[in-house]
Amino acid sequence: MEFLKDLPSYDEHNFTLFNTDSGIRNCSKRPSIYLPTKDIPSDQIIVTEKTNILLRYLHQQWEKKNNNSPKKRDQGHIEQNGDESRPRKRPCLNSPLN
Amino acid sequence: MAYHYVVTAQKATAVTACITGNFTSPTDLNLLVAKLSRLEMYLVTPEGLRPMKEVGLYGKVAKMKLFRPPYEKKDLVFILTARYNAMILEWRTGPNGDLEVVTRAHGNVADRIGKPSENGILAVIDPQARVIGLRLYDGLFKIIPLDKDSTELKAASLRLEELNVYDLEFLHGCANPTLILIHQDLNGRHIKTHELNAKDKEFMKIPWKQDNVETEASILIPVPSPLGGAIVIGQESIVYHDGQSYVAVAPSQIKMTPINCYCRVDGKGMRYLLGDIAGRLFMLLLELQEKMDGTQAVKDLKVELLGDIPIPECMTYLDNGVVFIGSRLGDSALVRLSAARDDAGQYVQPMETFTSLAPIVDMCLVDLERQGQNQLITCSGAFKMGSLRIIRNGIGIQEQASIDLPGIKGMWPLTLTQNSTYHDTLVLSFVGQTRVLTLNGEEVEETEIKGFVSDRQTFFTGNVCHDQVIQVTDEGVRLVCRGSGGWALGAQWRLEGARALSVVACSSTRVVAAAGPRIYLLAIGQARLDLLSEVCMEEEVACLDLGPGEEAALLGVGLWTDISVRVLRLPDLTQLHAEKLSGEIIPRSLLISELEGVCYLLCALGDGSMFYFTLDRETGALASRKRVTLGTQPTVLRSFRSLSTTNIFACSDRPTVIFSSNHKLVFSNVNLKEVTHMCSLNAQAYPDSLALATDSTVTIGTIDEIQKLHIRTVPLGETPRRIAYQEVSQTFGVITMRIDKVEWSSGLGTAVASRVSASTSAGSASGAPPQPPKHAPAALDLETHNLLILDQHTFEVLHAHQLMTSEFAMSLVSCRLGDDPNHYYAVGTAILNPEESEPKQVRLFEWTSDKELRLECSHFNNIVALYMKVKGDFILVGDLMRSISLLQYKQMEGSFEEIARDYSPNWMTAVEILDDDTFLGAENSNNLFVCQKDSAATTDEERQQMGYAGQVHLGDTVNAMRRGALVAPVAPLADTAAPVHNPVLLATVHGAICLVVQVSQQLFEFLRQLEERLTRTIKSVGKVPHAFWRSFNTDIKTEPAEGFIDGDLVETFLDLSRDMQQDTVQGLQIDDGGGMMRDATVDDLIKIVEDLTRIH
Repeated sequence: MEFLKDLPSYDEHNFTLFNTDSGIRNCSKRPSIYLPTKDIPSDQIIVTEKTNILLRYLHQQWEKKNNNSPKKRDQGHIEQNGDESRPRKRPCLNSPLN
Repeated sequence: MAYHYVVTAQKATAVTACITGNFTSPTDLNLLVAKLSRLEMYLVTPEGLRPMKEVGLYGKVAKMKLFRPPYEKKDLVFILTARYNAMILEWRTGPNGDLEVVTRAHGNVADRIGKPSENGILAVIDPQARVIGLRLYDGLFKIIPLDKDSTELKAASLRLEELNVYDLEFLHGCANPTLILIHQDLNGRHIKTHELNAKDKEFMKIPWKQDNVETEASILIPVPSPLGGAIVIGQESIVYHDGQSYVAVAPSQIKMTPINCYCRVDGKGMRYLLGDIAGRLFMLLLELQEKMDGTQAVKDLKVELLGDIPIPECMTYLDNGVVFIGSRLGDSALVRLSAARDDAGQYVQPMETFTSLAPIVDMCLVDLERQGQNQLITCSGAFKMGSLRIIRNGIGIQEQASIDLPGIKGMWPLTLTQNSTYHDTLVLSFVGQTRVLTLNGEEVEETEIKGFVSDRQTFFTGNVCHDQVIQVTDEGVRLVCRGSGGWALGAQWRLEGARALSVVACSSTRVVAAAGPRIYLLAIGQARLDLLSEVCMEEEVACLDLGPGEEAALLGVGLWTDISVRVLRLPDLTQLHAEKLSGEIIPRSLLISELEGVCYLLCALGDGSMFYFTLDRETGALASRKRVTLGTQPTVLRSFRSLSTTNIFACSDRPTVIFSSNHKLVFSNVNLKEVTHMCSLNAQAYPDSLALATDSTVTIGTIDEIQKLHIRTVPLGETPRRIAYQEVSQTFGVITMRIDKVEWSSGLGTAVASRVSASTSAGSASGAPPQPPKHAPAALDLETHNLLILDQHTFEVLHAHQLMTSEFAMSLVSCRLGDDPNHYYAVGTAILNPEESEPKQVRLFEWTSDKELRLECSHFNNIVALYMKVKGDFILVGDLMRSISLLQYKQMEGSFEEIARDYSPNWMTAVEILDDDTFLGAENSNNLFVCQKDSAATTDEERQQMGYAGQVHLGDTVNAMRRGALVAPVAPLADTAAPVHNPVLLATVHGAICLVVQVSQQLFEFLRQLEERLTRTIKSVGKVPHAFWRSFNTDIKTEPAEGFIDGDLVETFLDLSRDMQQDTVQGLQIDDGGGMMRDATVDDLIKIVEDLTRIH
């Protein structure tokens, strides 16, 4: 079959001496067991960021805004302190129900 | 309290993942296979796969991926365990040439909150190794940016708006890591891409997407550059998409069964192998065309069926057309692809199989050969790979020929043909005579050798230097040489005095013989024998043997009366060491043998027990004295070579093969009743064989490969479900399930067996004829259940009884009913009927005199009673989700009484009764627990509650539990240092067999300390703490392991170097036997742990 030709070969000798004359072989050789007793410290530690996704998103947005217009906030301050007399937070007008 | 020891007798065999890469060096081509919690590294060589190293992990491998950062010359492996431990591993050659596994990075990536995805864990790595992506919880995508220079890899979760993701991959050839995924919403399944900004940890944009791909699309295959894009595999169609072009095909071959795995064949990504759940292999080929701008684009997709393979779980292309197929449902295999069809019309040929017991669904333990040695017969595999596996501990002898010859006192092989490497003669010695047999092909003829005496008993004969043959009898030593006229006596040494020679040992240049207390050393020359020295021992010599080393060899001598072993040095026979053996039984046989580079001296006594020591070849000192009981009769020790390793055969009423494994001696039973003498035999017609003499016969046979558990396969070709043994009829009953195809013609369906299997080729058959299925929509296949009766020796299917259509066999037992003398196989069945209630009850039936089953009593208090074990009047019930409860059958009242119950919400998978008060359960999250009933409690309420006496994480789902062990209960361990009780065998989904035994509190406390020390000595690969791995873990709780010793860890003590053993033992206290505590030595521990290894 055409597309089974020229199968990739890393080392053309691999599997050339595999003997299948006596039928299908059953693999009975087991690899020896690796028993590490030497402490090799690992280069890197995988840590999970603890920040909540939403918080991170808000931080990111905030930083972006900051980076894009570094002076805007200061101006805002001035504006707020100057012309803008209305407080940003509105007082809660609903009186408690009970 | 109860104390338990759990150990793996047969490690898991199911292959869960496999990858090909350059792991052990930049040029080595390796195969890495994951089997549950172990990794096996192989090297691809011209001869095939060469095993390199096995690495155990403290966790079940959920995902294993290879990647290579641009600055690396080798591939690295990323592993994520089922309990979310992530690790990056590197294989490298250490300073002493040994392969070592380095944990490059590790950490736990679990989140405290989040809904684990029902589609399982998905893990992907960017082709340029910039980032690892994980989908662990619904709606979240975790990234681990692979930053080379930082000591911390900061994993972060991103919001993934697609909730129901079936597969995801990184695309090739993208400036930023770009994800492609298949997800499902109310409208169907869609593919979508996301470009990732790994630095800012956010998705940037959606480069392209395609709504409404096939409804069952489940696999994505990213195509390498320069093509890029991805292939989407659905149930009926295959689609290539790269954002611009879209090519779809719907090949008819793949419609029948879903494709469940793939592997890429060539690096450019033109060819892929696909495997489906019926075990068929396909090739997918991308056909290209040149576009106007000179670039290549996909024109068409071609799919070809290549042939049959094991039902795959994963597969990987190795080299030169050879592919490794990993399976969870039976043996894995190595297959070769060839461009031409073979005789069976296949393009794929099997090369090698890798035995797997997985999944073990049921098992039974029987002593078939009535030698006190159990065999385990498991229902293993599924569908076309269903089989029974016969597992036994020990070594088998396959008989090739036998000759009736009573009264043999000794046997030796000779080579008389010049320049031959094969034995052609067997010399047999009897009281007062010697007979010579020539092996002529397979024929055996009696003959004579000139110069040999035949009217005396031979004590030794063999080929020696200068092409001569030596014969030692009671009167002296004869040297027979090859002359022009054939064999003739060349030299002779006669013993002076009244005492006759009685024992002898010989190397190719030296003979040592003893008469009474005198030992003579002779040198063998060309047609001459020279007495070199003689010594007189204090007592008479009972047995002796020469060690390796010819002129300056060590000589081991066992003496009468003072019952001691002496070590002498040739040539002047100076005594180097004396060792008293305890007791009054005289030594009968002594052997010096080198196994795996360690020199041992073994001395068997007249009562069937044996002492063994390590022998220092320089000083002659004996050390590490140990004693075992091999049989009850005088034992003869012989060494033999099998498959180029030296082993020892202990001939007695309980023949034993002694071999060395990982530098420790292992004692294995042999499937023969009695052996009096033996020798190796390597004849042309009987290569690599043994000659074994019993009281009446000589048998020539080959020995099974040296291994502890032996597995024999009886293929069934259909799924085995339950097994039971009936001693009276010498049969096994096996419930099987096969899937028949339904062929519809003119509105009527007929079930047709899809292939030849055990139930369709039985000796005889009975039961319901296949009825036309009544399914409203035309079903394509139909489950048919059968009860098979198999011969216990040949495993031939004697009879198949087919159950009705839609009748499902659930349980099987062999029993007698009432006063009826007949034995029955009773099959519990369920009829698939929506109105039928679930098995909420436990019911007992009585076999009345009218041959009727009458309901005796029932018990209700279960959600679904799934498992049941009975001991006397007690019934242990395992519930679907309400753990275990204990019932008692009150015969007088004819009712059940619930004695005690565990109130934890455990979802059970198997239960067993350990003793009257102690019960073992296995639950759905791969944990084991032990419950105890407290009969002494003061209130009813307390009595009704079972208390926990132990819990541990096993890491595999237990399907079956049976009381008993594979090693004979009257184990050959007279003075074991580790007495154990009430063994129970466990069999698991991944094909592992484990053993749980009860130990004393004293031994438990001691082993607990050893275990704790070993967790510090042995460094965990992936840095997962041992306590984390063994902690009892379910969706709702995680608690430390207790009441169980991890035998797998404890037994690694024997594989440590002496120095490490010494470090581990430091400060450990042991009871000296009289209640006093003293510091434990390495040898104390080796003795205890070796005894523990012998129980499985």
